[in-house]
Amino acid sequence: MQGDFCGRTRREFLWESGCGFGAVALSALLGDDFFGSQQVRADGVTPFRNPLAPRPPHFEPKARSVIFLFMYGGPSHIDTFDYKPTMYGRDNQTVEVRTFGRGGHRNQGRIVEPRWRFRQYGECGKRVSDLFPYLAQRVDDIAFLHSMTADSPIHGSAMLMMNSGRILSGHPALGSWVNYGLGTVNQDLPGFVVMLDPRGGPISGARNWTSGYMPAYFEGTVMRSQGTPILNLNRPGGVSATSQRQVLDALRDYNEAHGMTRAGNSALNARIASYELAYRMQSSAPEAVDLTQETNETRQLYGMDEGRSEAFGRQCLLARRLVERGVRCIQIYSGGNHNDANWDAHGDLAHNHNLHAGETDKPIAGLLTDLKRRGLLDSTLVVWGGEFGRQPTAEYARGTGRDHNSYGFTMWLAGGGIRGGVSVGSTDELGSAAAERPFHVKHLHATILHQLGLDPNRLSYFHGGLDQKLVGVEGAEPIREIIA
Amino acid sequence: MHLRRYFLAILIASFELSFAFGQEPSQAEGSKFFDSQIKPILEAHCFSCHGGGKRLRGELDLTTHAGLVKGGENGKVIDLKTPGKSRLLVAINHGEIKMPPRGKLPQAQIDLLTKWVDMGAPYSASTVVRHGPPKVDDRAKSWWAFRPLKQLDLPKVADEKWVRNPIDAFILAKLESRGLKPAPPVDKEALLRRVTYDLIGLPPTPDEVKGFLADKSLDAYEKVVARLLNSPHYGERWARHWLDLVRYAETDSFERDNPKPFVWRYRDYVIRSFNEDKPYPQFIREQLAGDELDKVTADSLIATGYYRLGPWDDEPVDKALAYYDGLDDIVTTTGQVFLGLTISCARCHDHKIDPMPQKDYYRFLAFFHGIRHYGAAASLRPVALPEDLTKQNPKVSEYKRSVAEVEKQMQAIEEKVAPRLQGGEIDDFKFPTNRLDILRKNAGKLLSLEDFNRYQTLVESLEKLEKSRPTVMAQALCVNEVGPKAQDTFILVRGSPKAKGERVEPGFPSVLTDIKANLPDVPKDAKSSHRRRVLADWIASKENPLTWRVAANRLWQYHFGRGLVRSSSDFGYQGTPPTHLELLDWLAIRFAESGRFKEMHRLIVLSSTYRMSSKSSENGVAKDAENDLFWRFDPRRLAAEEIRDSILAVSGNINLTKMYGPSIYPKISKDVLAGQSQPGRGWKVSPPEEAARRSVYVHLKRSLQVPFLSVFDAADTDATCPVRFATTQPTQALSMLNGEFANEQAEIFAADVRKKAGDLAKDQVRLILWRACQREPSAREIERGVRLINDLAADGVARPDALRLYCLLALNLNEFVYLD
Amino acid sequence: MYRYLTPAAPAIPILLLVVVSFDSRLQAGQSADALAAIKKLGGSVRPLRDNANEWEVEFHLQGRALTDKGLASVAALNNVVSLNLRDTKITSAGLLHLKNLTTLRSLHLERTQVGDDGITNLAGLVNLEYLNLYGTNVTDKSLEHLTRLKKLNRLYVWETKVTDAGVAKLAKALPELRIVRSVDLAKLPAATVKTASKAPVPQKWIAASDEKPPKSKLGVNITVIFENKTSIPVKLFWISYGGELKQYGELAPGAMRRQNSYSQATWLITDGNDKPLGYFITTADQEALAAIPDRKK
Repeated sequence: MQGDFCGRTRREFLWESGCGFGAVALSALLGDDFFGSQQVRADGVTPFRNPLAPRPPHFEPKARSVIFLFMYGGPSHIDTFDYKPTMYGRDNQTVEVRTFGRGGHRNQGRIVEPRWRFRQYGECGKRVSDLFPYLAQRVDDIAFLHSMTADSPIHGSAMLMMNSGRILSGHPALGSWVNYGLGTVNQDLPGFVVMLDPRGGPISGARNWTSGYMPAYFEGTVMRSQGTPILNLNRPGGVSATSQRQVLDALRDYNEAHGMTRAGNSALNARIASYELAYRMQSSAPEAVDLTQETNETRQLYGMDEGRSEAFGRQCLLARRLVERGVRCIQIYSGGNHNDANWDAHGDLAHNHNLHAGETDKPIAGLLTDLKRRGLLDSTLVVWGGEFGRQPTAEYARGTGRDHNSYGFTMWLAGGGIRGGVSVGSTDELGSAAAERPFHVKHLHATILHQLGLDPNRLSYFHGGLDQKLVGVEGAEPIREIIA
Repeated sequence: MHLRRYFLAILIASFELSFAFGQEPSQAEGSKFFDSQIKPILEAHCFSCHGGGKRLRGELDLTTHAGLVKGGENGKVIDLKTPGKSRLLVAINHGEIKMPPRGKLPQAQIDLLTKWVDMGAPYSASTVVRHGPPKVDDRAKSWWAFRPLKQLDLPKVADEKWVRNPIDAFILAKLESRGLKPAPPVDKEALLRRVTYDLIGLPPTPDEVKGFLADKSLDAYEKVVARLLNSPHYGERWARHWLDLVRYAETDSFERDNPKPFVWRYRDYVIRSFNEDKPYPQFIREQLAGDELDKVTADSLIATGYYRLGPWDDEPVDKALAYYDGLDDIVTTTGQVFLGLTISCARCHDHKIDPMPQKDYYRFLAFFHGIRHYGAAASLRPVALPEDLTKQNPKVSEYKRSVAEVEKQMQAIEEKVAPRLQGGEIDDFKFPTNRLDILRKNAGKLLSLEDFNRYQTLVESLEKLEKSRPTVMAQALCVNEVGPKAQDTFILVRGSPKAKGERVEPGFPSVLTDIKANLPDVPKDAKSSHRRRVLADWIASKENPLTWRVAANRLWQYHFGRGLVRSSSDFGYQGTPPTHLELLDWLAIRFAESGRFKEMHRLIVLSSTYRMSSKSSENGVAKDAENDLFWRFDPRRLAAEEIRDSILAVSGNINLTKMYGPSIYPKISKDVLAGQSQPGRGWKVSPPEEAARRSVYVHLKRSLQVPFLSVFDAADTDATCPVRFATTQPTQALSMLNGEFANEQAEIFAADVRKKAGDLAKDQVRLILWRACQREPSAREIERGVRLINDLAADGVARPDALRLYCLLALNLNEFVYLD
Repeated sequence: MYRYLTPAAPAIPILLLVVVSFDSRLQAGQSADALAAIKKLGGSVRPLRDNANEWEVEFHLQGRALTDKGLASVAALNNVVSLNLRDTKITSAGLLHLKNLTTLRSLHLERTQVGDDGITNLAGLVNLEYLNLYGTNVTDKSLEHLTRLKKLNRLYVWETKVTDAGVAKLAKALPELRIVRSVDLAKLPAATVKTASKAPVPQKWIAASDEKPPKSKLGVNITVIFENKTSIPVKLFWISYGGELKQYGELAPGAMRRQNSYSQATWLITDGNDKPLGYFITTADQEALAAIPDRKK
């Protein structure tokens, strides 16, 4: 059932559509606080309540922010973290195995044995492939989910499912739900930041960070780690800071004079306040992106001294700085555009994964290390994964390319109250499908919301005649095994 | 489904909306206490495990008094004789058993529960849990929205003078019954601004304002209304409302988000329909069954583009499910847009709230079951008149020959490369829109550079040919059916295409009518099953209770900012009840008579209610803070399209002459294009002259929205949007202060003002404020502007730049985007 | 008064009955002028979770200008469980105000000028679980003041003058405490080739009887080495958490196989035509040896 009418909640109608009080939109309608604050006092002046004002979670949160490292294109779990000993030595053997990818349903194929050796790391002795020599040193902080499943092996719908819980477009992204539930503690920065791969955005573009049927407050804001961090943030050419301030002060005088005789319209105050907020964002966002404040040692830790990992390293460092400044949800895309510009290894598996693991291994390890030593890892949930995994068998007659596989793949979580050094669930011996303790994408979403102090089965938004939930109508329980 | 839905709906149904069902239920004191204080606690902390139905952990059902008394697996939980000793109280005080398990309730809630147990744990009648399909009985049929429309006489009022037409009588009667007085009439400038934006979506020009202020005749306002309703721009404004409802967009979404060919013809059809004041029944019949009418015209074929507007996945995971998702999208949109019913909630199970069993959903779906699943090829039809098609037209055969020639040469090159492709490109190459990029990537490897260049020129010549397609061969995106006999429709258990249940025939929702949908017998060579014609006639008929109430309510909503029923696409139990039921029915009956929009516009905008001021009043706020009873006119912010059009109009740069035709592509900044998987794809920027046309003509790409429009709450195109948001956020301020579009237009505005007002700052500021606020500016306002320009100049800002900055300021005024 | 995040809360009349403004109700029980003072300094006071009398106070975002004097208003609050003073201008003297904030569970002092004599004031905060001192002037002397904080489980002392000896002493006094000093990435990725120091641990064989083998329970990741000592081919079945039998292939007589599995998993062994022979319940050993005995013995 696709998202229905975009009519909003009942209370939204009561307060919002057109009538003067309610220009401050839906998100302020969350709790009963709205009624108190929107009670128009006799003089009609209502204080501007930013709909992104912080709200207490359902229960004590373990994490204050979440960083979603999105490996767009679908990394092969068989070649990264899901050790399949029995596959070595069986390269090119044809085997009976049920697969469903872009190439359609098949029930047998030619095995492509893992192209990298696995070694054991850390106290927990976890086996990690040679693609991630640096990340492997942090396995004692990481919980691996080896039996993830999703509903679609096609990029378009699979991206929408991993980001919004539904394979049909029009639903709010994870970051929108988090900001809708908790608000943001730093009004000078967006609550939901998205950083893109220099080679281009992911498939379905902005639909991946859309606020769907929620108001535009919760839309993801694309942030660049170089140049102007946010769209329209820099003053237009030739306008100095002082002249802009003079213009803003004159504008404020006009608007306040205009507002004097229109006490019945609280949106006017809201708009005046939004200009001051915009003015402050013009300085707070560049300050967050100014990496010159970081030591060389830190930049080196994130792999910014090596050409291949400089861009992703810069984005991971920016993510830590945004977490320090209270941004709720940050999503970084590794890989963009199509085919080998992302993890989508249909052609040469070794070339593709060496490229993208090479770009991201040290930066991600650096991020976990930096967060840990600063005492931030406890309150920052880091999630790693793609929209699906890849198949054990080759897609074409020749070559090592693996087709998409949503029957079983691996993701991992760290920090934010997650138990380290743990692996839960498993795929069968060929890694073709989840066998023990299969999880669905909605269990991952439930776990993320739970760690942030939100009950995934209670956080809902009334739309289309239904209390829509990120985890869907039936709801989902968090993955208890990885919660500390 | 969440149990709370039952309580919520029944609670509304019985507790507050007694008149809705036509009788007055009584309410014991205890159950009122239960409803207000206890049920919310049980819902939030207990029902997830003890909520009845599947949720019976420890066999304990807390949803009813009987369930509570029965107790659970390990015995009684409540002791009515000595309430104090009940084990329920032990549990909530976290004694030897701890409930709720996750954490002890706050003391305040424990006290409430203890008091409730002392009172003998009364439940309210409303929590009787309803199982099985919602009963479609007389009680359901008496729901205010399903009742047939009946003539009613006008209410009596004290202040007769205020009543210009019956609308005012209904409004005044309610106000007087609550001791409220309508706000005084709004001043002329504000009224002109309000009605001009309302009817054509553009600001009044200074001359129009001066003309109206000078016109002292009694019917000055009536003349303005007539002028506006006859303007061609009226259709452009009101079409945009309809396009919100039908989730109009020009691309498919998902991975390729390919353009929908010639879909702009449907938009132009909607604009022309409003301009021609087409009767609403005809407007309904053309869109739902334009190809099945007695007289099929190009217009009526184009109208069936209605079925082809939704998102479409060209590479679905599950083809059968995607087919039924497409039909569900049509059922959802049609149910809500024309009937205000959330029929789609009954796709997988009986509707949990409204009286609509799952069978009704599939009987409704059966009307559409002949439609071929969307696919660009399956939906294109020539729209030239049949007789033109048959005569041999030299231009047509010449056009076809040259297209075939170009395509043959392109195929030759493609066939050379296709077999030697590697990896993902093999599959990508199947989709025509990807081929140029793939060949470009392999130029010099799999094919010679010279071949690639030739391929590129071939592609360009194909595009040029398409543009010069002979008019007689014009095509449009329309509905196509599989043939005279539609496919059989079965109830799908839990919505799954693999689980077919009972076979059903097309039928109208049972709660609305008992009339059977008798299907016409259709000639063997017919192109469609003519089922949709039967549905269209029933929806468009005068007796349909919902069509006219929903349409009248939307008219009221687009004039006043919110409908008499605030949830304008949900008239079921869960929707918001109407604030003026009698007025709504009166408007519905009046609209059903003529079906003409313009007549209803005239009726509404000429009423005293519409001419009230938006000033607040202490009495009004005290008695009716939400302005339910319309004691004043609600101020509103301009919609996204109105803001963009106003900036273009005020800066003297708008191109109003060109109407209709293919969409335009205003500039989008590089940073925003970077969000696309292939930056810039599908967005060839239009020349400035074209880009300055009205926003209703802007290309609507699902995966790439024009930032200026989406930041001001343009409708989301993935589902029907009856009511837009009006958010206030800093990103709007950033785009109006620093954005390319705003600064470009401020530049043009300043140049135009310098030409028309000369060089004196005083005169320039006055003209700028005149155009931005459509009223005579006060001396203080002019003086404040002059002071800013001089201060800027004193700081070394060049004079023209200072003027440009002032123009930018004018575009950022609250008064510019807020109407009184 | 319940808090209910879903906007579709019960019908409108109920909500209108309980109109209470957000700020006053939620911050009831705190002294008004303390709240006002904190707000003026750019700090924020918020409930830790829904309708709870536990408060988190933060200055690290907009309140970095905070000085020692400002901390007095924090001391005036009750039930403060989390306090974030990162990057503020406080010094050791300011910590005096925190002396009897015994409800404190999490304290951020990183990147401030506090030193050893400030930390003495923390000795009475018995509920403290998280303490962040990275980038401050503390030395080993500070660690000595922390020995009575039995609940402390996270301590961050990166970029401080704390020594190995001081850390070892504290670690002995508080075994549960995880102390994080400088953490970095080895230049050359040194894989800890974990030589299986211990030989694979033999698992107990439970011969088949009429009593059903239990379902698997969740455990730690291990490796099971199956060895078929019988003279007939056997089949391996894993009994899932739900109780179904999942076949994991066959083992020829005398064959051996390494199988990735979990502790507390139940592995049923049957003969060629699925007649159960017996089962193992794995123990939490790195490598578990599951030798299937010959029936004759």
